[in-house]
Amino acid sequence: MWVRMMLICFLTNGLGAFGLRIVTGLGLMEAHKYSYIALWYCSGFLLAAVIFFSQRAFPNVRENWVSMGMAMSSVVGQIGKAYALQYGVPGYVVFQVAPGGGLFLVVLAGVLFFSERISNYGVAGIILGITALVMLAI
Amino acid sequence: MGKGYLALAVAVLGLGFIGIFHKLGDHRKCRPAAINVAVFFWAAAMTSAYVVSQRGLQVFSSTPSILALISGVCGLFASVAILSFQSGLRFGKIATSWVVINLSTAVPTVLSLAIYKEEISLKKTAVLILIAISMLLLWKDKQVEERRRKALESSARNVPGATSEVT
Repeated sequence: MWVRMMLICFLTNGLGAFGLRIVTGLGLMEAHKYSYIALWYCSGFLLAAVIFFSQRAFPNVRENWVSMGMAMSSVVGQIGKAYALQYGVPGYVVFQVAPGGGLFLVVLAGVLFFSERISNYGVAGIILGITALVMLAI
Repeated sequence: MGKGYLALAVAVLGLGFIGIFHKLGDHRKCRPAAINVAVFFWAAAMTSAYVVSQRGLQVFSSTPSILALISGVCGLFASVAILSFQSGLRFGKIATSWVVINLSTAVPTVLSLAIYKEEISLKKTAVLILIAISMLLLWKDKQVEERRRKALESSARNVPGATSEVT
C-alpha cells in the first residue's frame, strides 16, 4: 500500500508542479503569478472538500491545528528563503541548503523522535535523494 | 550576512516542519482527508486574501482563462498528492516518504525535457539517474521492513502470549 500511495503522490505532486512551467512557457507568469497560486490552492481545496464533506464530516480541532502548522511552516520557509537572499546569502547556497537541510531535518526527526528504523538501503536512498535535490537546486 | 544565515536557518526549520507536521498528523490519528481539506483551506484563504489585498477583486476576473484552466487542473493533482501522501504515511516512515515527495521534482524535469525540448545537460542526466536509484533503494528499504515485520509476527505466533507485544 505504501509503494502504491507514494507512486501516486510522486506522479501527481510532480504533475501539480508542472503547471508553473506551462504558464511560464505561455509568458503569463510575470503578470499573473499570484492569481495562479491562489487559483491552484482553491482548486485543490474544492477537490479535497468534495472528497471530505461527502462523508458528512468536519475537521476536528487537532486536525485544524496540524494543518495550520503545515501552512505556517510553508510560509515561514518561503519567507526565510526570501530574507536570506535579501540579506546577501548567495542564491546557490540558499537553494542548496534549504531543500537539502529541510529534508535532512525530517529524516532526523523520523529517526530520533518517531523511532523509525531505516535499513542500509534506506540510508543510501536518502543520501542519494538529498544529493540529487541539492544538485538540481544549483 | 549573519542575519542572512539566520534567515536561512529559519527557512530550513520551516521547510522541515512541514514534513514533521505530516508525521504528527499521522501519529495523532488525524484523518488524511481532513488534513487535506484543512491544509488547502488555509493555504487558499491566505493566498486569496493576499492577492485580493494587493490587486483587488478584479484580479480574478482579469485572469486569462487558459491560466485558470492550468492552475485548476494542477491544483487537483496537488490535492490528490497530499491525500495519497498522508494516507500512505500510515503504512510507511516519514524519513523515506518525505524523500519520495521531494524527488517528485523529477516529473516536471522530465516533462520539460520531453515537451519543451529543453537541453539535456550532463547535470540533469546525473540528477535523474540519482533519483531513479534513490527510489529503487527506498523501495528495497520498504521490502526489508516488510520482511522484518513478518519475521517478528511469525516469531510472536510461536511464543504464546507475545502477540500483544508485537501488535
